[in-house]
Parts: sequence; C-alpha cells; structure tokens
Amino acid sequence: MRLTLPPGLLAAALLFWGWRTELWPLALPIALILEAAPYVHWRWALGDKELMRVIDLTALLWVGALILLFTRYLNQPPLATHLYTLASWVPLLLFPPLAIQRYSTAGTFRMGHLFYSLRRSGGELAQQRLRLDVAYFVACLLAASVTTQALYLPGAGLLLLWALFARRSRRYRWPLVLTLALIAGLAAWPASLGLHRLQLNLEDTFTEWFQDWFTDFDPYRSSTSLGDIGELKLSDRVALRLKPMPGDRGPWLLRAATYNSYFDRVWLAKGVHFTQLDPQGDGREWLLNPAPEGESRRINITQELRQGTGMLPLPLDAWRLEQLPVGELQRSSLGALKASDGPGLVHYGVEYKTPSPTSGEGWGGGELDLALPRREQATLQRLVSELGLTGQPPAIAAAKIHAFLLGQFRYSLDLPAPAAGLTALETFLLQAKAGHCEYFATAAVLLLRAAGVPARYATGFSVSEYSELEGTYIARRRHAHAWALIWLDGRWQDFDATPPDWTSFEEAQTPWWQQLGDLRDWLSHQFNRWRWREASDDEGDNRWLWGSAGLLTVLLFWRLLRRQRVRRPPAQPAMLAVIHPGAASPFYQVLEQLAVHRGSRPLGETLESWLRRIGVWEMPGMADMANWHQRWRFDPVGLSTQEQQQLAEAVAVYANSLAHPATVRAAPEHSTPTH
Amino acid sequence: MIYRVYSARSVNQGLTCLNEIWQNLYIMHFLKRLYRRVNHLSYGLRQRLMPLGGWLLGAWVAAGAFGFNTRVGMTYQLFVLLTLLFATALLASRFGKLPVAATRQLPRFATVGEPVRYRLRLHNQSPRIQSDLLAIEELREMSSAPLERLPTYRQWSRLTALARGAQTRMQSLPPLPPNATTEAELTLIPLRRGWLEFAALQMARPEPLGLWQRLFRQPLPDRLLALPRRYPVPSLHFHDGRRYQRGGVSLAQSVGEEDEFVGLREYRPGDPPRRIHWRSFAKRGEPVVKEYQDEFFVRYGLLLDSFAADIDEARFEAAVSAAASIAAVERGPEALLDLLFVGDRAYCFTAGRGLGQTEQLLEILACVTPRRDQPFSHLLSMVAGHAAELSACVCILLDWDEERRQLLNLLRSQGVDIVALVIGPPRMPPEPGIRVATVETLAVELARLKL
Repeated sequence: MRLTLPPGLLAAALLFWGWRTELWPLALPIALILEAAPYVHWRWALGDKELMRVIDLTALLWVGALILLFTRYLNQPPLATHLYTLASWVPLLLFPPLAIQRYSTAGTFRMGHLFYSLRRSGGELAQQRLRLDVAYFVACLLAASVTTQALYLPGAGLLLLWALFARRSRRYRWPLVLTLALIAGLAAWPASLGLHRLQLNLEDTFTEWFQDWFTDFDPYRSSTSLGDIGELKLSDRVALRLKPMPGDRGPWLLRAATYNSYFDRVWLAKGVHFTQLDPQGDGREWLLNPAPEGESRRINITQELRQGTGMLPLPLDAWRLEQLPVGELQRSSLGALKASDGPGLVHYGVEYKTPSPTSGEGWGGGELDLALPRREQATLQRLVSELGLTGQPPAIAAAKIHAFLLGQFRYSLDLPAPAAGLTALETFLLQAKAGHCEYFATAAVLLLRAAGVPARYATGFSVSEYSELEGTYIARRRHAHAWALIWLDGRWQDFDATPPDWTSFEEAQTPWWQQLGDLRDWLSHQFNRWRWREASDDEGDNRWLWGSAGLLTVLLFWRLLRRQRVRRPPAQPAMLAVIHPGAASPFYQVLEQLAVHRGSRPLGETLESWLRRIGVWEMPGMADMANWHQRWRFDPVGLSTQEQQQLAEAVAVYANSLAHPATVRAAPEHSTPTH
Repeated sequence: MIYRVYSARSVNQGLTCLNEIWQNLYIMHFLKRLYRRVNHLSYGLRQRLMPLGGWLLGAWVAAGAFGFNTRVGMTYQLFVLLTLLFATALLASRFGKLPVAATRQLPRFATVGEPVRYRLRLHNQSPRIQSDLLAIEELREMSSAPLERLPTYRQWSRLTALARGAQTRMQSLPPLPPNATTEAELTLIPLRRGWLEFAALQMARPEPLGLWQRLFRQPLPDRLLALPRRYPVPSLHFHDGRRYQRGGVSLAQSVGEEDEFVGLREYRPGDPPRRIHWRSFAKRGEPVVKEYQDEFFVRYGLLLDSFAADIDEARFEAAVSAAASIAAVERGPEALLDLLFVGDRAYCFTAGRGLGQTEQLLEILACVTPRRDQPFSHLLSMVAGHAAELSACVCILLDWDEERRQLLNLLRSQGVDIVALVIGPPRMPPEPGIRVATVETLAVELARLKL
C-alpha cells in the first residue's frame, strides 16, 4: 500500500504528539526532518541490505525500550503504566525507518524488509511495497492519546479530518464529506463522555472485582473452610519476615483484614469504604494515627506485594509506617490497610503502641458488629444462656467465652462433615468440638455478639517462629490466622480463642524436607531483595541501556553519512535522483524546441527515425549533433570534452539559425517557403 | 460419529490411530469451518476497506486495546471517534445504487502463471459520470482433494486460492461517461490448470469519507480454460527417421509420402471417402478407390505417466507442465505427435500434419487428472499397441520402479528412441541416462533436455 499523506499533515501530527506528551523538543526536529525531505535535493542510495539494517536497528531500539521498561516495571509496577510509556515513545522508535524512507532513493520499504519471516521469501507478499507514512501518522495519534491532558478529541479530530479530506473520493462534493466527518466528530464528544461514565458506573458496581483481584487478603470478603471435609493442607512457604526490637519475642498478631458480617461460611466487610492516606516526609512515611503518649514499639516487616498491590499485615495498634515505597495507601473503615502501586517486595518499619486503656481505633462500627446470622442465631443464644453470659459485663463475658472455647474444644485440621440438619458452625459448637482457627474465631465473634459484646472477625498472620537461617521471625503461609476483635474498654482488642498449641500442632506436620524448602525460600528472598532494591539505585544500572542505544544510533548515522549521496535534479522534486549519462547534453534544448513545434517523439521511435520523419535530419549539423548526443548518452566511453564543446557550438549555431530563419535550409519536403 | 477400538502395536500404528481419531472427531471439519470463516472475513475486509480505512481500522483495534481503561489516557476518545467515523462511512455507503451493467469478453485460453488480460464492457445507465470505481472477479471454488493432514491456516488459504483457480485483485475502472459504454481491461493470473469458473463481477464504489467501499455484485457466469504452465524446451528433432504407418492416418490433410500410386480397386466398406476415384466412379456407376503404397512418416510419442498413487499434487502438476512444454515445442511440419496417457481409460491423441493442433493437446493436458486407483499395467498395454508406429518417445514419469523400467524396455525393444524424465525424487535411483527433475528444478532440466 503506497498511501501518501498531504504535505504538512505528518508534521502537524508530530507536533500534536509533542505537545501532549511534552516531548516537543524531540517532536519539532523530527517534524522538520521529515517535512524537509521534498525540498532537499539529495538522496541516499540504499540497497536491500541497508534497508534491512535500518529495520534491524529499529527492532533493536524496540528491544532496548522494552528491556528498559521491563526493568522499570520490575521496580515499579503496574505493567499498564509502562505499556503506556512505550506507546508514547512509538513515534520516536519509528522515526529511523520513516526518515530513511523519505531520504533514500528507494522511497518505500518492501514487506520482505520489514518482516524477518519474509526476508528469504521471493513471494509476492515479500515484494509488496509499503510506505510507512500513514502508519506513522496513526502511531502519532495513538501516542498522543496516552496522556490525560484535555483537548485530545478536537486535535485528533482535526488531524483525521485533514487526512480524510485529502484522500476523499472525487465522486462526492466536499461539503458532503465535511458534513459527514463533522457529524461523526461532534457525536464523538458525548459518546466518549458516556463511555467514560459507563466505566465508572461499572466500577462502582463491581468494585470488588476491579480492586482486589490479586490481593491475598480480600478486604471485602473472606471465604472460610468451615464445613469443608478432609484434611486441610497448608503451604510452608514463607509469606513475610519480621524483625522486632531487641528483646521482643512475640508472638505478634498481624491483622491484614477485618470483616463484620457472617453469612453461610463467608465473612464479609459490609458498608466498608477506603480513605486514602497522604504520605509524609520523603513520601515513604505514613502516619496512621496521631503519635501515642505511651511507650511505642517497632518491628520491621518484609513482605511481597503481588502486582505491587496487597493488604499490609500490621499489629492492631500500629500508628506509623516508615520506608514504605508505595504509590497509594488506603485505610478501610474497618481499619485494614491496602497498599498499591508499590514494588514487588517491601521492607518497612512499623511503630505500634503498647496496649493502654485510652488508645485504639475509634468506634467505627454499629449494629453490624452485634448482628448474628439468622440460621445460627438460636443455637448461639442458647449457648450464651447456658454459659450464663446474659447481662454479664463485656470483660467477664469475654473471659468466659475464652475459657469455654479453650477448655472444651481442641485444635484439628481434620475437617468432619457437618451433621445432618446442622450448619458447619453448629456442628463445631455442639458436636465435633474440634476445628481450626476459622472455627474458633467465628465462634468467638458470634458468641461475643450473642452476649452483647461488639466483635469483628480478623485475618492475618500469627508470627512466632524464629528462623535461625535468616535471623528473623518468619510467618509461613500456614501461619495465616483468624481471630476475633473485641470492643472492650473503649477500644478494639485482639481476642484469640484458638488453643495456643495450634502452631506446634501444625509444626508437627511439617515434612522432613522443610529445611530445603526454607533454603529455597531464603535464596528466592535474596534474589527478590536484589531485584526489588531501591528504584534510585536502578537508574544507574539503566545507563548502559541508554548508552548502547545512543551508540547504535550514532553508528547508524555515521554509516549512513559515509554512504554515497546522490544529487537529485532540482527541477523534478518528485523524481528519484538517478544519474543519466549525457543529462547535460545541450541537444536536449533542440529536441524540446522540435517537440514544441513538430509534436513530441512517440514512445518506441528512435531519435534518428523521428528526426528523419519530421524532416530535420537533413538540416546542417543535425546528424552530427544527434550522433554526439546519442554517444554522450549511451557510449560507455562517453564524449570527450572537445566533442562536448563541438556539440555545444553546433547547438548554438542551430539556435542562432532559428533566430535568423533566412539562413536555414530545411528539408525541402517539410520546409516552409520563405517568400 | 464413528468410534473404533484401536490397538496400537507400534509407534507407526499409534500415529495412524491418532490421525484417524482426529478425523473421526471432526476436528478437521471444525478446523475447516473455522478457517473458512476467518478467510471469508479477511477476504471481505480486504475487498471493502480502502487503503486509509485499513490503517484506521488497525488504529481502531489498537485504540480499543489501549483505551480499555477510560481513566488512563484519552485513547478511548480515539476509539470512539474512529468507531463513529466507520459507522458513518458504513451508513453512507448503503445509500444509492450503481447503475452500471458489465459484460465480459474472455479469451479462449489462459496459461498458468501468465497474466491474462481481457476486456470488460461497462454501460453506465445513469445521467451521471461514474468515477473512482473498482472491480474484482468472483470465481467459483472447485472442489479440492480431501485433506489428509491437519493444515495450517496459510496452507489452507493457499489451497482455497488454488480451488478458486486464479489470483484476482481489485482493479480500478476508468471514469464511465453518462449513458455510454466504456471498455476497461482487467487482468488475472491463473494459479492452476483447468476450467476457471467465473461467477460474478464485483464492482466497488467508495463512500464519501474514503474509508469503506460497497460491493455491487453482478452475476456474470463464464468460463476460461487455463492451460498448464510451460517451460522452454529445445526443438523436438530425433535422429531416427520415418516409420511405416499401417493403414495411414485417416482424416489427415496430407498423409505421408503417398506419391507411389499403385492402382484402383473396388470400394470396400471402411475405405475413406477421400480415396474415391470420382472419374472411375462416374464411369462405372459404383465406387472405386485409389490404392497407394503404404505410408511412412515421423511419429513421436509423448507419454505422460498419470499413475500417482503415492505422489503428491505438486509432482503431478510438474509432470503435466513438462508434458505441455514438450507438446508445445516446434517439431517440424511432417511429424505427428501422439499424446499417450491413462485417464478414466487409455487415451491417445494425435497432433500434427493437419490432424490436430498443439492447442488441442494443451487443452487435453489442462484437464488431465491423476489416477490413484488403477494399476500401471494399463499404460503398459496401451504403449505396447502403439510402440510399433513410434519413431521416438518422450516419457514423463512420476517415479522409477520395476514397472516403469519394463515400460522403457518394451519401447526400446521396438526400436523406439527414448528420452525419459522422472519427476522426482524417485523411490529408487533410475538407470543411467534417465534425467531426474524435482518440482523446483523442472525448468532447468527441461531446458537441458536433449531431444
């Protein structure tokens, strides 16, 4: 497809791109270089090999750009940002082939140049010629659209209108084309607004879907294994690492998510909304609560963030986070923290206050923190009355429930089937009396609520294992834990009713190869630490990339500049410069004169026969002039300087004779008698 | 659906089983349908999209991918703008008719791989000039051989193009003056030999925005015979001379050396009427015929091996091309050429000395189909019947084996000069003096052939 664009359109598209992406210092010279081509009278004589090299270099630039963006992506997800950056660079990356197309004698690329798979093919497809102008124009429009600056639609609309108007069919009058294009352009404004609104509405409707696809802890919903049958198998992989202050020994309950509503084995966070927190200081410090008055402790947590996003497991009374390099930190109305736009591995410090009667998260709940599920309501109330909890102060009720669960229930990972007519929770409370942490936490929350004490369900990690290999406390995936939060003494407190031997129970099940697994985890962690080291360190590492790209570009231009340049006749700007031997022959003037007066020479007729036919061959000097002229053009030896001079003189004599027709003796059969 | 119980005893058997299971599960059928849909879509788009429209459709797809999230960037606005432009273009293209009637003037023959130009008479029935029109031929697909393996899309689309028979492309038509008839020239390149069945002429009219063109289909059934591809071959001149032709050659314009008039005799049923001696007939009242000395002249054979049991299509096509190249070669005015091959039965066509033209041999070769179900002995028995009349024979063989060796020996035993060309690679190396050509080297080998 050898589709061309009207002059100036490509420059306008480039300037539009430069203005929107703020790359106009690059856009301006590129536009000038590309648009100046018709006014420059030389061309590079490039063959197939050189054109392929240009494409190779472009491919190399693309690979370089991809590697650069990939390394950036590793440090700073998400991927979409870098894809958009790449899209905004496309006019830059496609500039070399287009410049070569405009400044080379070839004027087009073949498909065989562009695609490696076609390079060796002699097929028709490989021979097909292609001009890159329109592709470049389209790339400029796309690249200009990646920023959120206003006025994109009018700009892109005008550029497209220009292109359409220039390429319109001559069947139709221009007002019709203009009207149709304007109708489409004007309708695009409300339509794009509508599309944007539609997406926002959809996002509102399916927030859970869009926001938390990949988080480990879903802040909105937690499906429990209550009622599942069989043995629960948990992973030994290390999920996070914790370094406490010297002397602190834990265990720590790190909460990642909180839920307030239970229904059919699923805990939900109803009516939850997220508020964004503003970073402090160097942008990596986050203040969750005002500084406490009492003593403050500190732990350092290292955890992986999948896709740069995840819930942060923190102690309940955390008030400040340090060195957390994430773009966005949101706190849910139930107190959970969600980080996004961060690296794949974060290493941050958490300051948390030691429990005191006056501290704690504010009362953010309501009726939901006392609500009981309808199916289990009767059982729970019966149990509460059996335990004598009705009307008891919250602290005593909590203590009794704790004692009840610890005394009569045991920890088990063998999950029995629910008894007929009973829910999974009822089976746990009334029959099995054994289960894992989700059973204990759910039962504790619901019993507390039945006793009139506000309670919530929390999930996170219980950290108590010290790794000699790593020199830190570690939490494995099987240390993921569920417990209750209880509103007591004017603050939310952890209430863990799971028998404390659950960790040793799970450790007993660790396989013999766990040491190897730990070593693998440690190595993988070391690799991740290197991979996710601070972004500022990486800029230096990318220098070699920029350097090599620059070097390659310089190399290409040096090679191109060294190539033979061909002068182009300025009189025919649209023609490619090909040196015709004898192009300077003055006899052409004679031929032009003859063509004007006697009609031009038909294709296929030799010069001599034409001159004979129109009756000028016999004119003095004409045969000599024609012979010299033809020898100059076709004789490999060419015409000597002396002969060239003779030809010039003969032409001058001929011109003179035309000026004084009386001296001319034309061939008798065609001559005009001069009376 | 047919289910079979397979017992795979070896790897080969296992593979065969797998292949059969593929076919039984209608995967081939499904794949063919899928390919057909994709092909139909891409073919339709290529015909309808104008050059700028093609690029902007690409931009539309890219803008759709990048503009998925309307909160990031403004790419969705480009997507919306292009969607509306295409919608406007499609809508605008629906208005109006194309009052142009076309008739086609096809030549008698075309040759595979050679562009064939023909005229189109276009009558503009409207009082308005019709400009910027394009036209493309719609050819009917001939049924192609069933596929034995799972083809890739590229292979399949090549097979489809072959079944259609010719490479066609949108070609621009000159401006058509109002209420007048204009002639235009169209070109197509036949891709396979045999009949090309024209179904309709599609004329494309662009819409005002220049993105899309609407196709107007005018049924215009016609057919054109594509002759086999031919390559340059040296002239056909064998050293060996003339041979006795028993009974002469009936219906020939000039038959052998018939100067030796022997006498007159009574007419016997079966005598050609041209031999009636009319003056004697008039005298005697009953037919009398002239009797001549027996005839001697040069008669060449061109034997095409059409037994392609395990031979792929390309090899057979190469053999037909080789036969066509030899049939078309200059061989002197007095020589006859017998084309011998086995189709649904054994055929022998003779050309030369006014009996038949080279064109007719090529027409026959254009329609030859390979035999995959008959034994080679058919050809052997036919050649045995003709060998005595032949001075020399060019044998185009599809393979080299014992039966083919016997065939050549039979010809040699009758004193026939032989030039044999095996379109290979053969299963066993042929005896010395026999040339082997592959599909790729056919042109070179034919140019080197010494006849």
